[in-house]
Amino acid sequence: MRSICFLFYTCLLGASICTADDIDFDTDVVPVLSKAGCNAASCHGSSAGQADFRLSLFGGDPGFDYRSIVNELEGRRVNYVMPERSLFLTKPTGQVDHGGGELIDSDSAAAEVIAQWIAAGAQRKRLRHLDRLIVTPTAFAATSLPAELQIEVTAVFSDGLRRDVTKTAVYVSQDDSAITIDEAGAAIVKLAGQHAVTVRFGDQVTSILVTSPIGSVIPTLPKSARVSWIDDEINAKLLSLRLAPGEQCGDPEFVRRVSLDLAGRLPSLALMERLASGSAPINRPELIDDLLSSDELTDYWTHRLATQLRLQKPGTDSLAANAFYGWLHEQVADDVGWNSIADSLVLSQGDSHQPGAATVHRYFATAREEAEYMSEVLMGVRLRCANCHNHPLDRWTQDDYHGLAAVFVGLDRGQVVRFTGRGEITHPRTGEPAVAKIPGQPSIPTDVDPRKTFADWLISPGNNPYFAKAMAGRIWEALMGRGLVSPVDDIRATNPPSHPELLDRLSHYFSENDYKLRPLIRLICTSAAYNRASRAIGGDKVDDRFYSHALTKQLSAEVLADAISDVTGVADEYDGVRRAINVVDRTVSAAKLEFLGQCLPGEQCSDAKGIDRGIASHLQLMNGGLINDKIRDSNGRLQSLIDQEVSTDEIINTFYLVALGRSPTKNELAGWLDRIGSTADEQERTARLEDFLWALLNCHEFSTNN
Amino acid sequence: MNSQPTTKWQHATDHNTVCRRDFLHVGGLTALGLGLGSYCNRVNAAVASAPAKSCILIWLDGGPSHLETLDPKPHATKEIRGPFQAISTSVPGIEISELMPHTAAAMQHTAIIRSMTSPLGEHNFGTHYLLTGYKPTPALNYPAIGSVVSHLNRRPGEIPSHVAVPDLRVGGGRFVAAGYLPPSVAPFEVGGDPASPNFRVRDLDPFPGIVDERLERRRSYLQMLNGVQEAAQINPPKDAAFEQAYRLMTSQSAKQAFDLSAESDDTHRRYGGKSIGQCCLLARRLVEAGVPFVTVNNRGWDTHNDLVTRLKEGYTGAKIPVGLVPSLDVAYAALITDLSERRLLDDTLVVVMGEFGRTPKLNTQSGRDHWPRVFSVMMAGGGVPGGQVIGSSDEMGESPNSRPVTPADLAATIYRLLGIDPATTLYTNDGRPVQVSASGIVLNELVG
Repeated sequence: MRSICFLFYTCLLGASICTADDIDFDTDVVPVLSKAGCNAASCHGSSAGQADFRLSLFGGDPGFDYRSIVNELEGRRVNYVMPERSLFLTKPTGQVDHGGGELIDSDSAAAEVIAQWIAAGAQRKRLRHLDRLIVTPTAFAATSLPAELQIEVTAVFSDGLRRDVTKTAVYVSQDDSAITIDEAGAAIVKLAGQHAVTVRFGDQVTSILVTSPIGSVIPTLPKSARVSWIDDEINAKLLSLRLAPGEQCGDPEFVRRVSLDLAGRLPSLALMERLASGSAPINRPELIDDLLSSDELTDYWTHRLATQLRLQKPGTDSLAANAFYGWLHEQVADDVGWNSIADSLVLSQGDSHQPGAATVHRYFATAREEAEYMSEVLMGVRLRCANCHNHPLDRWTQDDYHGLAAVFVGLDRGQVVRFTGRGEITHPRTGEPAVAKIPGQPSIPTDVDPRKTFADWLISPGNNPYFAKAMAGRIWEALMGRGLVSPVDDIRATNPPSHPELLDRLSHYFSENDYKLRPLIRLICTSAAYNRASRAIGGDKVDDRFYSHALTKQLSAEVLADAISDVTGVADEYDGVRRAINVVDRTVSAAKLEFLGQCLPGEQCSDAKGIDRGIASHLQLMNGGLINDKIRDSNGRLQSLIDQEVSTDEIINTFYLVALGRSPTKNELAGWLDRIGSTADEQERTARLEDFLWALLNCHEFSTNN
Repeated sequence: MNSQPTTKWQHATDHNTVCRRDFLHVGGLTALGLGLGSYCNRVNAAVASAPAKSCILIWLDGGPSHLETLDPKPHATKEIRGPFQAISTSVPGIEISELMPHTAAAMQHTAIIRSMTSPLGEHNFGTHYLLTGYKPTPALNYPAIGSVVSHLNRRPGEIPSHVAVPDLRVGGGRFVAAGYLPPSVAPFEVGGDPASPNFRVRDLDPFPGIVDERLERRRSYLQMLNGVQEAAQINPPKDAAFEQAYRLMTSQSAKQAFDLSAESDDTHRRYGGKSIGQCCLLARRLVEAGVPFVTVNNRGWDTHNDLVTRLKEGYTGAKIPVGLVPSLDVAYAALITDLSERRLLDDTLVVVMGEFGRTPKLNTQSGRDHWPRVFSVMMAGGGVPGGQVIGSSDEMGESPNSRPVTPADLAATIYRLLGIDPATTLYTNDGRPVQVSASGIVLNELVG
């Protein structure tokens, strides 16, 4: 009787497995455990296990699970003679006392899979492994709320078998208040906007983006809303969300924005005066090209890349930091491709006092730290979670982590960096030396320098899905104010980009153009999306991620300090360097800039960090020397204008132009004249002008790029 | 998601300023339609019984080794036991590392949780989990416990309600303490090194020559400029940080709380000469002045190599050990006894923690790597019954052996000890309700 039941239920499960012999532990039994939640972090998948029974988190390690189930507890979890009396079956079905309660119905197909597997001898046959998942739909746009959505999942296995696993896959809504989803993949969309659902089966994870309209009317797109394919992607999303794109910004706004973004500095007063005088409109593409070929751009993007690469001096060795910075400056000046820069970073060796990338290997004491660093700064992937257990929500395994560490283990990290090939990394699970390997790839043969294999894989567009995306994403964030993936260095299947196709196309464009920074910067800066006004339109609908208007960017500490110098006409001094962005060792400038949200050496920062200035920053700007000394410097801009007996309204106008890139409105000017111009006392007038300038340098409009 | 100010939270904030201290006890009562006046009156009785008025969180950034601090394994093999022994404490049956004799002597005040467990072994992620009680998710940035306390507790006083000594640069960067709450609940980071002889919290006094009248004028000029921009925006930045800075610098009494030089040489010595000691001393001054939440940030606990030098000696061949653990030991014990002598300990919750523990087996460089599966946390004051150990790890210090406690449970417990109902609802910038602590279960052993 029992065997008839087996046959009946397994045939329900999938047409292709109708005999007990076909039950595969890895692809049939483990998914049952995942679905029932047995291997979740809150149960036996916890790093500590539960009640002395431990499974790998989300079934990431079927071999481990097999040993736990079959070999541990002296084999008492499986009863070959009477399969239905196995603890492995009676516990989850609640037939004996189970702390987790009844998770699997004893009459269910899931229970039958377990029983049948045990009856067939509880073997781990490794008949097949999961090749890929086909999830439909891949994206979903609701037109009204609440909306219903049925997700369907097909697993494709290595032996060609395809099976509908909709009922065995595990669904997680990234935000329960936006989307709820049941065990069978039926979702209800409840909140407007864009939200993600993660689908997990076996060792694979994929995400579905679900959108529903934020606005009430479908907007019409003006012609100005499209310049390039970037806008096609952005606008399609805006339409599906019913968000109207904002109008294009005016020339003064654009000039200030693009100067700050590309050259890290305010546009010149002469240029702003010319714009304000209303003579010929600016040619935006020409201005972009001028900036792209400027030394200022090279300086600024060297600073940006050095920060991204977390440049720090090894110990007190300034020479090594300077050599690295000089090398990086050359790469940016020559528009060397990011792939070539990355290749040099990984493979560099030799004297770190000679210009070159070798200093990078001296940031870290250990190979593990270097492996983490390389994966984060070059691939936007955080491997660290895989240090002690398989990364629960992504594809990285402990083998990947320790294998990548083994790539960097043979380095002598002295002033002269050498590859010796000696040393080893211990794999904590096996206790054996880890074998050098590339994440998600087979092991590297032992007779080659593994760094070369890693570098080749890293920058190969066909093999590495992360490298181009990570950098293209960072450039996008720098210019647009928010990463398509956020945070920008956390690329993983469970953290989908807001605009997946756009990110793919940007990455493709980046690699097609030899990974050069300038073509991609030009492309983004000429898009309609970049050229929008910063003022949001469309009522009270909040859009902080769909680019319907330009997002406000906080000036970095260095750019702000340099802007203060430029407005006041008084340069800074950092051990002989006059501009903060040209400082190699940021510990030197930290005394002045730390409170302005400066990214300190070694820290991982992004443009999204430090959105708002805190109390310490306000105190410093109010009471510190950074602004106060410059405001009243006798050689500064304000004192010179006063000495030249320039009128109050002209002084005000000049400072508005140089600091904010615009003239004051009539009302503003009248307000200032009322406050400042009402005294005949020269000393009092100077004090009031100083206070005006102080306020100007502290206001939101000045300290942001709009 | 980074919070941008919106009407929604401003709405919530406006409510809170009416009787913020009380608001936190009622959680979702507004949803039931109770008028402000009625619940303000109603919960005043509850306020009186709220045990802790302040919290000092000593954050050991980088992940302190549980095996070399609060959970030694003296009977394990050498590669697990490590270089140090265990010592007994003032409470019979409780042993801690020999590097912590002063803490051992104050064990009657202290509760240790030895069964903390988390799946997150990366600095950023682990830091977010421990400091907020929520695992990080791309969908929402959660606020630090201190920012939630500040948000719920803040009265428009002269002194900031959330202070970090010397800063809150934690987890290797990128931790946004305010999370989805308004940016004004980010901590005031005093900066500098309180252990340096000339330490002063900088920029508290006006620039030479800037008299009060000019300060006030600058403030009004700034309001005029920001007002123009705000009028043009849907979500104008509400510059509470500037106002907090202004209130602080114009208040003599608030500024005095930050003046570490007002302490006697003896007191300075008592806390130890290292940064963590002087930070704890400053934290005590701030708590005395009524600051509800102070984070002391102590960096350098990411000890992948050379435990003897880094954890014990401080530098090679040191005669008197000044490494991370002895410095913590002196600072913590001094803080607890000082608070106790000043009768502040019952009102002040002290928590010592980092983002995870370290691997049970020494690595090849005599260090230990990241290990979140089990680690330890210690707490004192604020009504916490001292002299107890909660939970245990297995004989290798590898996994919890009993009573696993998650960072969410810990956060819920801290909130409860501070008189905050973990079920209290907060709102994100787009109006979503989020609980102060959604999944955490309060540890009854600690709330007494």
